[in-house]
Amino acid sequence: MLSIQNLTKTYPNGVKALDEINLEIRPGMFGLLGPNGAGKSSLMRTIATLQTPDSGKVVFNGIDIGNDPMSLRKTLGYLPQEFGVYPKETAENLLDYFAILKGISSRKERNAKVEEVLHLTNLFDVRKKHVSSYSGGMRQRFGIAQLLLNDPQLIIVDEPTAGLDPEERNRFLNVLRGIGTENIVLFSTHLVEDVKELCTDMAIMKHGKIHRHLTPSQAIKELESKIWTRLIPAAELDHYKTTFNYLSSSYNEDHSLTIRIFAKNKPNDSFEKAEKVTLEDVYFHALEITVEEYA
Amino acid sequence: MLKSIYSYELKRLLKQPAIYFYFVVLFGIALLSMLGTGGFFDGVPETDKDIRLLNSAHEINFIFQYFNKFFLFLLPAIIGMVIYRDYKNNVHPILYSYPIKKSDYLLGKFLSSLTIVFLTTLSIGIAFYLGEFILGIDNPMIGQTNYWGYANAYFFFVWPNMFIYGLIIFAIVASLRNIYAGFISVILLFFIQIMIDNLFEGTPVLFALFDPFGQNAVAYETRFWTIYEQNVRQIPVLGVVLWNRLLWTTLGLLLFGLFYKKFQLEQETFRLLPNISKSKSGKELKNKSVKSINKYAKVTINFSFLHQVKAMLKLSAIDFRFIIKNWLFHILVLFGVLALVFAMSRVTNRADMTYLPLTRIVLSVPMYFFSIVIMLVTFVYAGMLVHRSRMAKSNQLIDTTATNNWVLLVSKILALLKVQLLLLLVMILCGIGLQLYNGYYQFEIGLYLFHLFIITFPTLIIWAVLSVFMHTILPNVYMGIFLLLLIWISKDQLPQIGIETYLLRFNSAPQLVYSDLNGFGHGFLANLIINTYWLLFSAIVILVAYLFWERGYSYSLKERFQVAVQQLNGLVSFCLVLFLVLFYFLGFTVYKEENGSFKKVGNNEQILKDFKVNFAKYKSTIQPKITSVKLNVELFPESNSFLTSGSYILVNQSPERIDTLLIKTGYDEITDYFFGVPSTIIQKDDALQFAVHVLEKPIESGDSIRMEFKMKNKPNTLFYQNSSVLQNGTFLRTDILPRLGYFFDDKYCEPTDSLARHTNFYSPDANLVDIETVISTSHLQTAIAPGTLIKQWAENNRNYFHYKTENKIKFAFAFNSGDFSVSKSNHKGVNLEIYHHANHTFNLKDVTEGLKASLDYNTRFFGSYQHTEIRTVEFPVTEGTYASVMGNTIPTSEGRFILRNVEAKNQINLSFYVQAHELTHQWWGNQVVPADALGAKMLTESITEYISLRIYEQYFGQEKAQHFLSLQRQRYLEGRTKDAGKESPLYSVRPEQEYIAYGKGSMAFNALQYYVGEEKLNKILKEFLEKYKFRTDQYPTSTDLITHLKNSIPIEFHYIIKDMMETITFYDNKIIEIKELPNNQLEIKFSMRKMDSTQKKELEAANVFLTIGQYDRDGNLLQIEEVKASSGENKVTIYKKPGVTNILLDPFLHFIEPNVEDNHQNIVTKE
Repeated sequence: MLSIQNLTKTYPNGVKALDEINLEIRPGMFGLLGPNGAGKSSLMRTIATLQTPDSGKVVFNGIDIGNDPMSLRKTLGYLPQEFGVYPKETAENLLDYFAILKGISSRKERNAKVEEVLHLTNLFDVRKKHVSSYSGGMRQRFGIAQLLLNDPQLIIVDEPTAGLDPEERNRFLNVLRGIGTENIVLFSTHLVEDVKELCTDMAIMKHGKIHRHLTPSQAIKELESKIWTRLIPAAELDHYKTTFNYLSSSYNEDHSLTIRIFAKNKPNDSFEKAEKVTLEDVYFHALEITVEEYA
Repeated sequence: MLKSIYSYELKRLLKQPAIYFYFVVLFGIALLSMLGTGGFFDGVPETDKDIRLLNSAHEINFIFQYFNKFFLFLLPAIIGMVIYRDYKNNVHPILYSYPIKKSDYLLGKFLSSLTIVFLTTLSIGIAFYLGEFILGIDNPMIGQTNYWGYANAYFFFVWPNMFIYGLIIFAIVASLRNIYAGFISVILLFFIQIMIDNLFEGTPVLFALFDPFGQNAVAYETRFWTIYEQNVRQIPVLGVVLWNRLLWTTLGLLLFGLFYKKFQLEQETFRLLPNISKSKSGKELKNKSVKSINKYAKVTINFSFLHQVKAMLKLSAIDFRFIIKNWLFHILVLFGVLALVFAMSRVTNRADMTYLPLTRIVLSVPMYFFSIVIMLVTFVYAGMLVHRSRMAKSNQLIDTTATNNWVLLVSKILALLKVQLLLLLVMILCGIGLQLYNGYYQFEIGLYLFHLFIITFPTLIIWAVLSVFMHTILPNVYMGIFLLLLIWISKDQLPQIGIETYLLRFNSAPQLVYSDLNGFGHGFLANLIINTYWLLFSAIVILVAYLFWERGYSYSLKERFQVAVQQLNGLVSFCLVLFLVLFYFLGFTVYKEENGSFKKVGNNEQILKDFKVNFAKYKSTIQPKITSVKLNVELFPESNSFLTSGSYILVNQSPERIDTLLIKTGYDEITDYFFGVPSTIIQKDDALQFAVHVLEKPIESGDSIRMEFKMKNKPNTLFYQNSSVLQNGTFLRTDILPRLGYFFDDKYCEPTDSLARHTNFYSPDANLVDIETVISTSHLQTAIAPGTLIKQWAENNRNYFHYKTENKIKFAFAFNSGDFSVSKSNHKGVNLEIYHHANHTFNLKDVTEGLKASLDYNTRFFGSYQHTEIRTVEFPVTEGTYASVMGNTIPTSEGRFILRNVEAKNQINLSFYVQAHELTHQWWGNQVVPADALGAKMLTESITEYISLRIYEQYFGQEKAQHFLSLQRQRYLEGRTKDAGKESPLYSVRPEQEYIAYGKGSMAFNALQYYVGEEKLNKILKEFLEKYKFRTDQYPTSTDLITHLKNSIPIEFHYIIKDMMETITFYDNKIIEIKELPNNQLEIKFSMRKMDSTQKKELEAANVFLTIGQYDRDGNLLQIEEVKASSGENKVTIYKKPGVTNILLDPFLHFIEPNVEDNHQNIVTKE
């Protein structure tokens, strides 16, 4: 279990990236949703021992990572938001290199493990190619391959699907799915879709704070019968945004808009109850309301 | 657009702290070095010579050229970075999609960064200008501010260099998208300079023309400038300098033009050359379903210490592989090898001689050049290794593994050490390859390994550690390299600003010189200790680097310190304290040793001054003369010590009684002595080992007393060698013996001073003496003393030798001991014995031939040889590179036994020449002993050089002799530029003015010989020799010789004596025009100028002999004509020889002409 207590970090430029964060994460896929700049990466970097918080602590299975980062690193698999590799090195060589760094000292074991993760991430056929020439999706899968080398119990994946095309994204999520659920997989994204497809638990983050922490099904249940839709002309959008608890909108073929709003009761007859509450509704709803409202 | 890019980049650059850092550092170094040289810290040294002004145009140019090296490293750091930045930050794909014109983009970037570089170089000028004011115009080293000198240095050298090489480096960085390539290009430029130096060794004008920085163009134009001229003249910018600048500017522009044409504002890189490397592209096959997990490999994760060590070794192997596979590395090594080869050919092929490619020579200058490559590789690749993960953005992946910091740190250092070892191995292979190529098969693998791995490698380790440390604590890799270069270049300048202690001079152990005879000698231990001292320092540095190793993200310095403190656990603190304590104790030991030995050499001037005040009254106190010497010398090579006892017979040869004796004993010896008559010391100076004794009973005129003495050497200290006794190849001289008289008078008598005639030039306390020596040494060695060996025996496991002179000799003795091989022969009843190192057999024939030829020539012209044997004894190169004659021995440096004379085409056979020269001194120097006056060396060295030249010509032919004479001319013309306006005419040459005594002297006698005739001149010289042979009542002076010459030589040649011996006179002959006359005749119009020593005042020449040579296409002399010429324009008509293509005035160098370039003219022969 990963327990985050009162984690706070303010950067020298005054940005408060983490603001008193408290979070308990159990084994399974945990999705961390939030817009860009919400502090997702800061949180993940802190858990991944890459930076020290100003206050608060992170405890994983009894390891206080502030005091003993090395112990955490032994069981950590981390895929940063943006990473590069040494040019002109093949996937196989690089994975071997990371396996050494991850403490696998037997060459035989290393070879077996490298082969395994290559298969797992579906990179086996291109293992002799330079990673620097990989496509975005392949590169991200390589990232997963390297993090799996030490059989991590805590896996942190920071915005892995950003910039992937739908096919690549699918492949990637499949790989993640295959990792199994006995470990904690902490997965940050700004795409609600990702969470919907993968996660058993989730949190929504904004301005360095956790806004909601619940399972996707719980969240959807909470909003059951509270989402309303309506077809409006595009020009009237501003009006609806200010009058109602607006969540999202989408264009139709005739350039009219279907908007979704949140309301405990049907606002008026022009609205219809949404057929199905989506995770997106949860996300936008969570971003709209302030922390105080939860309290 | 150009303007806005320019000003945007300019503003951005001006915000970078690194720029100010470069400026301040350069400014600081320039100011410090100027103030240091100007005596701001330790006062201006007193001298009566012309002082070199610090702010003359020549000096400004010189210093700016020196700083040019630093400036060049600014180019990749500033200009290269400006373009590289876009690739590094990956903004080029965006940027290149904007509607920016290629020219605006490139020029904007280039010009803005060039502006910054120009501004940064101003630091030196400002520092100098400020230095002038701080030192003040009262300082004798400061002249009027030379604005044109500054402007000249900037506009013709510094800025053009920055422009040209800025262009090239900009193009290289932009096309390779690699900033390191920029740094390496700068290094390559230096190598190109070295190589051009070697390629055009024989033709300095080409060297000057092709020098990439214009430095040697200036050196060429000013090569004959005296200090006075250097102080007042401006650097000539027309001629070679201008051509040089034009050439390189054109080349730079051409390269940039090529780059500009090829450069595309595109995301993908382009190539100046066609692509040769295949990139493994990772195109994925589509339609592959995701495989389920088909197996589950079990791994053991182990971070125990042992496994971490294993991981460290593996990581270092990966880093090592990375470096040696890098193409920049290959280029660097290639240039290193080339530099090695060139340097080797350079040091073995001097202007005047050719050395064999001995291992110790390979390990000197050539290795130095190669080690530059090793250093640069270390600096650059340390930065690459430390910053590599960050630059590739894989640092987050690495930092989140559980691998310890020390594993990462040590693996990088280890990888660097492996690269260094590899390079040392390459160096050995190249060295051996060169030796093989040159047909030299005495491989000394042991010496290679010892020198490179025991002596050199520790210093490289220290550099590797410092490099990794610097790159760890500095965020900017370029700043790291720059700082390392700075430390490296400036550490050797520290003694100049008064820091002499080894404790503060980073990684600068005392230099060792290897001798085949004596190995590394005494300095080895000190070298080892200083290296250990800095190795301990490195250990501390490693620990600090460990503490500050960057892992993850730190957002402030405070955070980094906090992390460092966190890392400081028990073991680390323990090691840190341990190394600090060891470092301190070793440092303290060195400090004590240094203070023990530095005091002795320091304050020398003051001691001498005090002495002169206190003891000047004894300056002309008459002393008895030593007439007989008995010595018992015991040498102990194993312990570098000796014991000597002996006695002198002192005879009062003056008409007056003597009651005061002035005794000076050896500096490095502890001497006890007493006289046959009781005496008391009335005054003494311990520092100079000088004492004044009063005898209880004076010595009457004609009477004699005995002086008995005993001495031993002071023990050697770590840094100072007191004893000249070596493990092998000991060479003791007269300076170990007690002497009589006031020895500190540095004024010489004029040659016309009749008082000078009573004392000889070599020893005021002795005329000619008998000497008898019993000398003993270890059982492995042979010992040699003056005279004939009369007995030899072994006793107590030691060898004893008893020598005695048959005739009296000068008071100049050599005592040698070593494990020698002896080559013996007999020539005309004289025994020739050559004592040499067993392996040094290369030159024995030349040495023997030199002695024989000299014996032949001198006995033929000047009478018989005075001893029954000639002993040439080899001594280690550490004791000197000269040869000398002492009694019947010719101690000769090791350096004269390892020459490659056979293949030396344009060089002098020095093995031969030196022996011929030294043996000639038995007549000119030992039979005729000159008086103690100025000009003494004209009687010894000038005549000897002339005779040696004749012997050389007889043996090797006219062409070789002519070549040698041209070197003598060069020696004179170059020597006078360094003599700071104190040049004397030959007749009053001072002892240290060898360029006059040897260089000009041989030219003078050679010219006389040409016109008077060899036989005739030698006969005249012989008459002089006979008159003074072995005389001790009247020693001859140079004026005696000149009078004798004038009395015997026809008056029409007296001008030669006047011009070359009595005055400093220069000529300038020049062909103006050659006209072909119809009847196969040539009318040659030429001018003659005669000038005084300043070459400003014209003198009148009349009826001067001048030779005109006709040469064919291959440089063969067809005809030589003697004509008479006078000042101004002359016209002669000569018959034209068939095949003549070239007319040359004064081909045999009978005139002293600084400029001989206009002495020849080609003639077109109409077929």
